[in-house]
Amino acid sequence: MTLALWVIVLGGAGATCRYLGDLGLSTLFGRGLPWGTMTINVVGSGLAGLLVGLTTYQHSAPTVSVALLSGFLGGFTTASTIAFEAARLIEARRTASAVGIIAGTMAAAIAAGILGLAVGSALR
Amino acid sequence: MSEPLDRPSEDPRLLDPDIEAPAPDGHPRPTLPHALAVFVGGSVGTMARYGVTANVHLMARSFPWTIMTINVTGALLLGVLGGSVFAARPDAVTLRLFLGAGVLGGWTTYSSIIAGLLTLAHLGSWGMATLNLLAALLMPVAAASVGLVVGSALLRNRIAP
Repeated sequence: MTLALWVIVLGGAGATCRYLGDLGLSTLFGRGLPWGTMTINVVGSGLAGLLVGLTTYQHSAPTVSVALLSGFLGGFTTASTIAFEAARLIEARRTASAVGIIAGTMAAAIAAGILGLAVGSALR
Repeated sequence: MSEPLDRPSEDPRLLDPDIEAPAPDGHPRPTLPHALAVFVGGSVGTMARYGVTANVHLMARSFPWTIMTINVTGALLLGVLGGSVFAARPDAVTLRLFLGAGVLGGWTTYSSIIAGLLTLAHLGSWGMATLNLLAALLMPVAAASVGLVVGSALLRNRIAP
């Protein structure tokens, strides 16, 4: 199977994992805020950091890394849902919650990415 | 002025595009048709994203215009759909999951933004990293807000189905 095909199939698999994970996490944490999507973006960013650490910023990243980064993690994580949730919170005049989910997800995702990067670099 | 009787009491836009309507016990359950809709939609969105990013080096010193454009257009479209079609048809769960969780969820990405930020920091391009961070925080939300306003206006004017 060519790389493009792998990316497409893994993208579908990543999106399906997000759907199932979001359902499970929302059942666990409640649906007051989009905890599921937030957690998935943080976990996906941590895994992206791990892959970047393992491939050491090579200019031609290994095929497996491309398939996992662009395919699985690209399909798994999402920017549109979290932005849409924040927009709806702003519309409902819950600006503090909107700022919280956007800034909180970003801060946690960067921390997870740095952690993943450190682990990946150590494992290399 | 009283509300029309056929209007649901709960704002249909409060439905999460990633989540289906709750089961009678309050917890939504995954179903195979819905999972398949997300899989196919996610593949389509990923295919489109890979189509425009395959020749773009995701870990570069420059501003990630491609990924940012992808995320902004995805957030804008989700806002338009959420304000119009999804709000008008809260019962069309499969369509919402296919387009919202699948196509647009697969089209946009969060992990690539983080990978790009880490790369810029690694390269010592702190100015560019800060710019990228601010854009990633503000632009998708702004786009989704504009989309929501546009979608709601479309629905009010009955232009949307």
